[in-house]
Formats: sequence, C-alpha cells, structure tokens
Amino acid sequence: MDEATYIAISQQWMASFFRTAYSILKNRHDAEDAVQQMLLKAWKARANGRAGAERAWMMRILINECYTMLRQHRRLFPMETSDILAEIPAEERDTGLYEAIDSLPENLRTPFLLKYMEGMTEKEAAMALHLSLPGVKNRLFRARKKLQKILKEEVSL
Amino acid sequence: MKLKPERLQQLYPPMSEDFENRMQEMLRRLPDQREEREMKRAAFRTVLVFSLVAILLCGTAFALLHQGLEWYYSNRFTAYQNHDPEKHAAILENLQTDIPQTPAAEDADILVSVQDAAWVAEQNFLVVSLAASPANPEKAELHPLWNLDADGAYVGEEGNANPQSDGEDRATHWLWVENGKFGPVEEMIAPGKELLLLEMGEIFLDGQQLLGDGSSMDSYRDEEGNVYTVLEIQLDFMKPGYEAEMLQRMEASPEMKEYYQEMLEKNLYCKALIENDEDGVITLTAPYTLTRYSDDDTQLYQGGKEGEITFQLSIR
Repeated sequence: MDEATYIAISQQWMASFFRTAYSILKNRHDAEDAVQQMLLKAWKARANGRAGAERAWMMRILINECYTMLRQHRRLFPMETSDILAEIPAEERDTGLYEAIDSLPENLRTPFLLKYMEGMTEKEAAMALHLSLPGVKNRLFRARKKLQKILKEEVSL
Repeated sequence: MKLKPERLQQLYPPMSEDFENRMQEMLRRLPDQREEREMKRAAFRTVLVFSLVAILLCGTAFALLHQGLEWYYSNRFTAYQNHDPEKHAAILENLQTDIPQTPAAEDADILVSVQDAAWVAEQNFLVVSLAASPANPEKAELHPLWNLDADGAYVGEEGNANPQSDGEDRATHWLWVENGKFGPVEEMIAPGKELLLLEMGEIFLDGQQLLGDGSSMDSYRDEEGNVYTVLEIQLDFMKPGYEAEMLQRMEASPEMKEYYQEMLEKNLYCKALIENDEDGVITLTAPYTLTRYSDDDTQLYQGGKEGEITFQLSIR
C-alpha cells in the first residue's frame, strides 16, 4: 500500500475503525488508543497491505490490537451500558437494540457488526477476523438467529 | 425489524472531533518520519549484506552484533548492573565478539548467528547471545515461541482472559483458542505473513548439555524483526568440591540417586573436556526448533524443524 492509499483509507474509514474498536472495548479512551496504535502499526507495515484489501487489513490490525488490550488488561475500564448510551444523542438512542446486540457474545457480535454496521463483505470480515469464509457465514447466521430470539421478532438486514 | 447500517452505527457513540483532529494531524506528520526510518532500514540491510558476503567468503558465519550482551545487560536485564556489579563487569571483561561459527546446514527459513559470548571462568558461568532473522522477511515474521507464552495465561474455552474469573478453568491456553480471539496473530506486526516460532535454549558440548542450577534463558524480538536468545549457563561442575556435593545429594535423596549419578557422569565428562583442552578453545552447539504456527498444539510443541549452530569459544 502506498502512502497516499494509506492516508486515504485511514481518513475514509476512521469513524468505522473507531466504532469497531468501541464495540469491542466499550470505552472511548481505549478505543481511541487502539485506533491510534493500529494507524501507527499499519503505517510501519504498509508495504504488506494488499491492494484492494487495505481496509480489511487495517481492520484486522485494529481487532488484533483490541484483543491484545483485552488479553493484557491494559487500562481497561468497560463503561456501563447506561454511560455508553448517555454519550449518544437522546433522539438517536436505541436502548433496546443496543442491549440486544451487546448481549451477543463477542465472537458473534464483531462479525455481525463488521458486515451489517460497517458494510464489509463476508470475505473482508473473514480477513479482518482471521477466520475462514464459512466460519464468518456460520457466525453471522448464529448472530442473526440469536438476535431474533432476543428481540422476539424477525430481523431483516 | 429492519436494521440498516445507519441505525446500527447510531448505537455507538460518535468519534470525538478532538480525537479526529489529533489523528488527522498524526497522519499528516507520518510521511516526515519516512526518511529517518528508511535510512535506518537501509543501514540494517547494508550490514546484513556485508554479513552475508562474509559468510560466503569465509564459509563461516560471523555474528552480526546488533543487540549484543553489552546492550542486553545494560538495557534489558539490568539486575546485575544494579545489584551485582562484579558479575556485570566480569561479563563485559570476558566478552568475545568475533566468534567462529558454522550453521549445521543452510536454513531456507531463518539465518541464525552467535552474536557474542562471555566465558566467565572465575565465576563459573557462560553467557551467549544468539540472533535469528527470517530468511525472507517479506513473507515471514519470526517470533520467539516463548513470547507467545509470556504471561503463562490460560483461558477458559470461551476465551475469557480475565484472571479473576478463570482461576480453575484454565483448560485451554490462549494460544490454542480457536474462536478467532487471543491467537498469536495479534502479536504480529504484519498479520498477513507466515508466523514462524523459534525456540532455542540449550548449549551442548560434545553431545552433552551444559546445564547447572540457576541457568536461565531470555528471548525477545527487536523492531527490525530479529529474535534474540540470551542464555546464561551455570557451570557448577567446574567448582571445586562439585563431585563431593553431588555424592552428598545422592546420600540425602536416594530416590534421586540415579538422576544425580547420570548428571554427575555427564558433567564430569564436560569438565574433563574443558580442563584437558590444549588449545584453550571449545566447540559448542546450540540447537533450535523452528515451527510454523499451527492451531494443532501437538504440531506446535512437538513438531517443527530442527537446526543447530556450532561455534567456538576461547576458555582461557
């Protein structure tokens, strides 16, 4: 990946990177830390970013960074759901849906959000999560089923 | 219920303007660092080329001294410098840097060298610094196997890494969890590359392992992707009274007699080799195992390709 592509991808998908990190770490400062670390690592290793898959490659570094933070318990203070929701403008707050998605296990939630919130293809999500394509499809199916059960209604995406 | 991306995106708090500005500023400044980094990389490559030329010309590998023992004991492991200055000084005084060495065979995956070593006869110990780098850094990333097990953290099958909650259910090592979390890839700088894991930690003299009480090993990786292994081997068997001490141990612990007897014989053999050496030079071997990462733990810990490097140390 050349410098211009790195900067363009970083700028275009910054909000997406932040949301993904936030959904895993549940803390604004940790999510900011993870995004910053990812940008620095990706810059350093930008020669490895495959053309056409740059976003998925950067997302993968970001998710790895989040998991490393979780594993190392590096300054992690997941916020209470009420505090997270309080950060969202009242008119946009969707408490029931947030709680339903938040109740999904992380290994189902992240593939779900990458595809349906961030608009990644299943192939991109597989690359970002270091999973096989069938592995991602399986998790998406399980996530949808579980969500329907929690929400007690049909979910269309 | 219709879940559109916009609706899902509103579930999470937006990125703050302040953070976005900071990141934009960082992105603007990153290219300025390129020149400095490229110079550093070019310098490293130049050294590597010269080292490879030396290998070709001499038929013998000479160490590329990058983070050698002087750096190690002054930066990474400073306990001797702070608490045992005599030992620290002895290591530096006995440092050997131009070490004749020969890899057992050309390794297609990694380049291994002995950087430097110190044979500290008066305190009966040996320290060796070994360096390894991937032969094809564009495609492979090398890490010490130990680094992936640095905290010894085991997690439950659900991948819960919280040590408060996984006290007795640490049935699965985080390295082996297959749910896409907590895998070793997270340690990698460039996760698209092949992950190679290096394990080395033993030194042999004429087929006998040198191993004394209190021997230690450290393994780490630098920013350039080189993996270093520093071995400190206690040579207790060189101490006067060693044989008597071992006989005493056998008497005190008859159930361990066979083990102590075997150890005594091996160590006395090594001692004789060292004491009777006329040239003042001994030939040592450091074996290693290189494993390609696999989710299969039997492959990970029992598989791998074996290699070794043989080197000569002055002991006078």
